[in-house]
Amino acid sequence: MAADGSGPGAPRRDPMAEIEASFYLECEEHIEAMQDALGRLAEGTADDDIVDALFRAAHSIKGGAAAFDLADLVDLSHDMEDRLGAMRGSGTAIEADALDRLLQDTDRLSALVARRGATPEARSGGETLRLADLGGTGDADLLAALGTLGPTAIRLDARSVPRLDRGDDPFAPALVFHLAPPPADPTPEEAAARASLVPAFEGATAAAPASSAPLQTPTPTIRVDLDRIDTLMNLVGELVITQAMLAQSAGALGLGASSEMTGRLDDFLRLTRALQDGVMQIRAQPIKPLFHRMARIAREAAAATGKRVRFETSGQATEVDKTVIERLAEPLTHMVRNAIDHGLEADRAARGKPAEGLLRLTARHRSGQVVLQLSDDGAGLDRATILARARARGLLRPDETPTGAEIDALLFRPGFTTRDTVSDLSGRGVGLDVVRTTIQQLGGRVAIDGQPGAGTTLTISLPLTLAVLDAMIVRAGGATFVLPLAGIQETMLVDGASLMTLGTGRVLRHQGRAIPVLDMALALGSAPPGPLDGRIALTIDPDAEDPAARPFALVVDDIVEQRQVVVKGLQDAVGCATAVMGATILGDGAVALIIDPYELAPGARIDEDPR
Amino acid sequence: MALNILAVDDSRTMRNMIELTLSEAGITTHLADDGVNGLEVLDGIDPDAIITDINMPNMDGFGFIDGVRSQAKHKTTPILVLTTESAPEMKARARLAGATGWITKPFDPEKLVRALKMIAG
Repeated sequence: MAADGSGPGAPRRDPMAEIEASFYLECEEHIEAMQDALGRLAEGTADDDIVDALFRAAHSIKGGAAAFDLADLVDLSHDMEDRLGAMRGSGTAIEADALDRLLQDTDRLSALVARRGATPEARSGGETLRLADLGGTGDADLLAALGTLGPTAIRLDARSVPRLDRGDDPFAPALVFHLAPPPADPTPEEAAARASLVPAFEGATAAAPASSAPLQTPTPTIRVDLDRIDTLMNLVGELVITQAMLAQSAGALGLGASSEMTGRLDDFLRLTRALQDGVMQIRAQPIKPLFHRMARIAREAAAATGKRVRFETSGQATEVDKTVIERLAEPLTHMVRNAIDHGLEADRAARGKPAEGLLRLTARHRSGQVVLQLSDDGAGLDRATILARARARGLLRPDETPTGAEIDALLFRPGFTTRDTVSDLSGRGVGLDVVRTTIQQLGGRVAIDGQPGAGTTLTISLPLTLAVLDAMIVRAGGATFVLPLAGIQETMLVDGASLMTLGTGRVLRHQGRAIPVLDMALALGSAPPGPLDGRIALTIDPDAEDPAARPFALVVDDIVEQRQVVVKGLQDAVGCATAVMGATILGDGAVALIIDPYELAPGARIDEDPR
Repeated sequence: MALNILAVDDSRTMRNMIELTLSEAGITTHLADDGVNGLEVLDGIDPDAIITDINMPNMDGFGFIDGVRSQAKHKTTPILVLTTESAPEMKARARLAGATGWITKPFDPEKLVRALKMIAG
């Protein structure tokens, strides 16, 4: 903008300016890719494709920079491009010196791009003032409008830039306006501009003249140490336990369900639950940054494997507890790399599939759970190979004939692999056992569904509330256990007449269907086989995320009660059965294990299609 | 006369700029981000002319031009190569592959539009 305020300084959306802003973003992506590629070359991978990719990145930056007359960027990228062009196709590993130089140059590129993208830049010719878009709140327009009033200097105070690695909200910049002290010798124009601005500032400022009037973003925010919130969460959890103990004591004193005391305790519980929800919301964050990270992982994986991948997401606004998001990063990364490396075929065109593989990552809330799904349209699961490998490794008894879904589930066994070669990207084998362990530690479940030739879907379900669970307390085999209430369909007495033996298991005739029935204590290994007749059965809904699942029934000795429990993790417990989701302290002070019914009865899935 | 153009370039910035320049001249632009994608998009449209970059991942400009020229209905579709490379060998190679013309980046918007209207009109 010219010094006299004329020229194109008025607020308007300049499409070329937007393209330039997007160019800087594209440069950052290229530079990131270059840094990753150089990193891999530094590790000793001599790959022509990597050098090719580096060349093209430098070339792209040069092309765009030339279009926007950014001489320093053009010179540097051109120089790098020349060097990379010479290395292309040579087939030999790049010397350490040359590599170092490239790394340094990439850093310099990054610095140049950062400088250009963050501050107002006058195009050579001095006509147009372009401001980087400050999060789309119209701040750029505001600053431009201010600029028309008089000479304006815009400075970035880096101290106030949000720390993305701490998960700060990146889109809440604060604009601070300083009215500069009047110049000793103001021009008439400056004096007039000042005269119109001073009343506005004096009205807004309450303190000394040197202070500023901060422009707040619509919702004031506060930064809190995560530890403090964890403490809050624990305290709320203790409140729930204490309430349960109080209720127990009240019951022991003979106070009935209609007594005033019980009514007050119910109120207490309701308030505690509301408090707990509130604290959970403090920690809940949109899963979007994790999805962005996965998109980047997918891009890297695609580049590394030379495959073309389209990465789609949905449900980015789904809120998940912050600590859960952090712990999901590793298993999701593994799943994404797996899908691209092993799932997507290298010869898709020959199979009549689009050259571009599709990866879809979705998140949604569903009855108290967060459900994440990663699906690809790749090769699906080769059940024959999986079965053969499982038998070869002795994971199955010779007489076992697993269903299709059970074969798929074999992939979650430790150390399982159907690949002979170690992939550079995702290492030996599938490694889904690590994924499952991590998810289980979060109190969740993971299931896999592979359609041969069509693709694979991995589904993770996590409890929304880590701390408190709606539960049913039962007794089985002389011990007390806790089952999540979600999924329990109904309770009934087992009628001997409706029990039948089918193959190696037993089924219960229920509502016109035959559903598998299991003795819970027997499944947990805490009691010998015994009669089921006359005992209580809980029918469990089929696992909603598992298309092959069917309902089944768990037989217990007794139902104690139905209420909320506080979930305590058992991360340090060694050799925990896969069915144990955690533990809790009951009202009487005893410790009870929380059991995942779906882990107890994987064999309850009945596969429709014969293998 | 509304022209229909296919532009193939792996740089998002370039694609944006081409689209902006051409749309301001009343030309409809279809975009693709590499040679493979370009051939896919080409299948669905009937461009009056094609603009392509040379350096692209998956399939470069030469491969793309080959692919275009191998199709009977595109034997004579005008192809303009838009690239920073200006070496004579590159130009010759592009000509051999079947390119109609050559424009260097950074391009002058008016020149690009004039060139397109000339070869496609």
